[in-house]
Amino acid sequence: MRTIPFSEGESPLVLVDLIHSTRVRDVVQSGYCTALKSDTLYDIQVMMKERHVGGVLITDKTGRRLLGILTVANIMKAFEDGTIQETAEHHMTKTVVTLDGEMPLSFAVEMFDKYSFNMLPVLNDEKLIAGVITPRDIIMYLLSSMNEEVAKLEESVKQAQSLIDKTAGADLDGFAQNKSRVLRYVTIRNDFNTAGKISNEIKTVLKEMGIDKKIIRRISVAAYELEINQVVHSYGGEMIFIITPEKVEILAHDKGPGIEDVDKAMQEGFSTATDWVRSLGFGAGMGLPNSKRVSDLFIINSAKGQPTDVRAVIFLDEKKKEEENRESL
Amino acid sequence: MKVSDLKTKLAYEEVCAGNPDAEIRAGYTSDLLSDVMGNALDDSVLVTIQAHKNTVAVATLAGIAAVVICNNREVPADMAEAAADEEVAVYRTTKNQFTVSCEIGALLD
Ligand SMILES: Nc1ncnc2c1ncn2[C@@H]1O[C@H](COP(=O)(O)OP(=O)(O)OP(=O)(O)O)[C@@H](O)[C@H]1O
Ligand SMILES: [Mg+2]
Repeated sequence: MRTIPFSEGESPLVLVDLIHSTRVRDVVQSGYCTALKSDTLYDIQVMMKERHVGGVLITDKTGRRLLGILTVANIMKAFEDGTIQETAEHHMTKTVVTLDGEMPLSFAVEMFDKYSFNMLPVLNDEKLIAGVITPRDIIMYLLSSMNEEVAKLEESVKQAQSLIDKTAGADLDGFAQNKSRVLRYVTIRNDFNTAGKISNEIKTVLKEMGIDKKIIRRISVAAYELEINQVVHSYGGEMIFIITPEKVEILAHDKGPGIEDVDKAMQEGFSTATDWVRSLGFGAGMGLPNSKRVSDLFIINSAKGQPTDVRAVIFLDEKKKEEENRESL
Repeated sequence: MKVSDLKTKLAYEEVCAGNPDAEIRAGYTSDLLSDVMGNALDDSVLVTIQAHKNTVAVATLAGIAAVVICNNREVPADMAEAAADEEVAVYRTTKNQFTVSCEIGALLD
């Protein structure tokens, strides 16, 4: 599969964020045509002409459950074969590629790239039709969003310039003089292509520093689970690693939507992951318990509608760990 | 059993050899990666349908020596690359997770 022509690290973050954070359901156009499987291809073809659509969803009597799809290609073939007076039932495409409304827009872009469809039905949680999405919807949505983002950027450039003017000459090197090393990474909502990259990079950094393998493994597990959680469950966030000779501290901070019941979220097996997220291998409800288990200190703060903040500390030398434990007793 | 037994005794298709002489002492079957991270033992073989480079990331962190991708799923190029970098063996087969688990279980006894 060719990937979308956006790549982390190369494309502007706002654009990458836009395509991964927007959900398919926000882009869906409401207008679409439906027909019953007992309708004739001829009647359907007349409707397609009148309504200027390239495809019709074949549904059950309620009009909500998808049974198949009929496109211009099916109609043309029926004219050729002389079957245009037959009903849709035996001529529609029954194995339809559909999108889940909760999926990120990047999935839709990849689907249009992979298959040569002009529209894709979108289903809601109950597998009922929520609408259809076309490449045109995506273009229009992206153009108007990009317009807004660029306006915001122009404003922030102005603000940043005035800030630079004010702080010019300040001593920013003082920070680099103490022995700690601070690394900061950004996570993007639903960006499954790069999920796991941060913890992998941190692993490499720690290896180069000659830190004990077992300890690296614990740090990487905590980093991995917290990173994936930001990608899967949050609107995006940042992961900050503070490495000192005594300990590695992971600060995971995101932009919300927060966790309603933190005690529940900490239990093994509790997960709010949707079906499609689970199909990607996430959602065992083990991430937070795993990261707590490998950490010497683990503090999580969150509430509904708030950011989620996690602080996980892993000591690098056993003596230091005992000292700190004694102090906290 | 050894990692290379997955090829020589069970005839799974080799995608990445990893460390062929490494000893496999246990197995874990799951399609949810954090479950693997939390519960798989060191020197395990992981039986899964999750063909993604994150599977390799988790395998490395969980101390897993080999991954068997079931149900004829394709292994994407970036997963194979990650596996080569991390020396994690990756095999694939048309069989499902249950069958593969049974076959490996018989060799582990
Ligand atoms: N950064 C976050 N923002 C919002 N909610 C979160 C965040 N991290 C975790 N949660 C909530 O806590 C629940 C439990 O998280 P946990 O990592 O233990 O499991 P999971 O992510 O659902 O599955 P797994 O980690 O096993 O793949 C999640 O399902 C989600 O509801
Ligand atoms: Mg998780």
